[in-house]
Amino acid sequence: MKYLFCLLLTGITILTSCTGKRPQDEHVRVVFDAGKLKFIASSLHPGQETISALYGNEAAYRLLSAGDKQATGAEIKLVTWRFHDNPQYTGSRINGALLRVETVHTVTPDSITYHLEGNPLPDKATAATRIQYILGYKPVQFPGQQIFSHH
Amino acid sequence: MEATKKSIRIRRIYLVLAAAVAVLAGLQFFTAPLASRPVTGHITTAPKEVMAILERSCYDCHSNEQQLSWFDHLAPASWLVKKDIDKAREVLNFSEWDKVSPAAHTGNMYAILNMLQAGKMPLPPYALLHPGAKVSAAEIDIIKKYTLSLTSKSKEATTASEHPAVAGSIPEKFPVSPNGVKYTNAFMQWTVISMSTLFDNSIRVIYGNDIAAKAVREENFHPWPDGSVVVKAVWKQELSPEGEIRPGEFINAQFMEKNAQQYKSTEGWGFAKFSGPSLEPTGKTPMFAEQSCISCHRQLAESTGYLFDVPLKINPDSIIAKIR
Ligand code: HEC
Ligand code: HEC
Repeated sequence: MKYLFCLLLTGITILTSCTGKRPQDEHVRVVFDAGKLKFIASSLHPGQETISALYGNEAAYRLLSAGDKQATGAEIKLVTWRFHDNPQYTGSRINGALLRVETVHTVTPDSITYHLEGNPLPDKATAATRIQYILGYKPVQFPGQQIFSHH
Repeated sequence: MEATKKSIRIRRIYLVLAAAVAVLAGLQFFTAPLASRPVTGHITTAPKEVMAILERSCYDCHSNEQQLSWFDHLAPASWLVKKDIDKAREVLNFSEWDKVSPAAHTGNMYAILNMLQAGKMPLPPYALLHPGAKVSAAEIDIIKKYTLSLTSKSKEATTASEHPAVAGSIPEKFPVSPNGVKYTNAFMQWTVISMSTLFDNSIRVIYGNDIAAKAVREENFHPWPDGSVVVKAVWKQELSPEGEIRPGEFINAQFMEKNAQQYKSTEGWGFAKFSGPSLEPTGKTPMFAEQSCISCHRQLAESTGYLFDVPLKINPDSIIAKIR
């Protein structure tokens, strides 16, 4: 009887130790899922050792390429990673730890929302300066082609 | 009685030995001599210590100036030696360095450094038979110091200028690489797998189609599924007013397209490179990828299915929920 009780007790302890704690975080290879948004621009910040990708919808592409400040409905995500030496090739660097995602939405030219997820910004910039910075990106160039071709 | 049995056995052994020698001797007639090629130019800009390492450990294969051991000349070993030398000279030849531009010299030095650090060169079977060719850690440091010095004082990114007008200069029809890989602009809509930079002051974005992006997320690298296509777009670095580096002029788009059956000689990957505003395909024959692409990817990126720029496995999986 005493023996059974002991067994029961250890059983409960094992069970609670499994369910009580969150499972250990596993490391994964992250491919950022931008949903319907497309890659439009990028930047590299040697001082902060970061590299960023800017994604947007067609309105965002128009806004950034033509400086069409009246464009409404632009959705932009700026995704920032720390860059690392590529372990497979000395002389090359690759994005590594994901730091933050900033989202800008131009509801109307006068109403622009800003949202930050992840690590805080190193220079504690305000939303207004980040919006201005993000809307200052220019789309990357491809020979004779545009990322959004029909407009 | 016993004595005759023994002598018969001995005679048999001699016969077998004699036959083996005869076969080996016969094999020698089938040894095609190594094509002798003229020396047209050496590396002229590297320090003596660097040259001494390359000459001692690499010239037997990557040059027109072999100093092979007697056993390297014996068939069938000589056949393997010849095959390695033919291949090695095709990808890197220290006796024909006059054909190598300064930019390619730097690129080659980085390739050499990486091969040494990974223990891939000299080829391990050769190093086993030629212990003197092994390159020590101290010697790798000498190569490293020289290689890094080639880019430490290289030019800064150019400051932002007006983008050159590239619109409209695209050829009517998209180009095709000599090995059959077709250019497509569909990649601009694909998932970004990673971003990278190289010592040459370029900035890169690596796109993958749905099959490739899924393969990365599931680490399905051995082998990558057929139909995976990965495109690396390369731009010059440009300095922005904020002091950041941004992609400037378009340099090229490089493709890797997985089709195990069609691209057998390049580990199932169809390589292609399309350069400049007219997207000029690299290579004159379908062999170009064997000569100028696969060796480096095969030797140094085998663990990720011959791709270098797969995302590092360093982010906790909980981050995926946080950023949605
Ligand atoms: C036994 C012959 C042999 C020796 C010795 C040898 N190599 Fe190689 N090397 C090869 C072969 C064969 C290849 C092609 C490998 C492949 O395609 O997978 C190669 C490929 C390379 C490449 C890739 C070139 C490219 O552009 O893709 C580099 C770099 C290289 N070798 C450097 C060296 C260095 C440095 C040494 C001396 C330390 C050396 N090799 C010694 C046979 C040799
Ligand atoms: C000397 C080594 C070397 C040679 C030769 C080489 N590559 Fe690469 N390749 C790399 C490295 C290192 C990277 C990752 C860094 C970067 O982004 O460029 C890479 C990346 C790539 C990628 C992006 C996918 C990946 O593997 O990460 C493509 C596509 C590619 N190379 C195509 C080519 C083509 C086409 C050729 C031949 C014309 C070629 N490579 C020759 C070293 C090499």
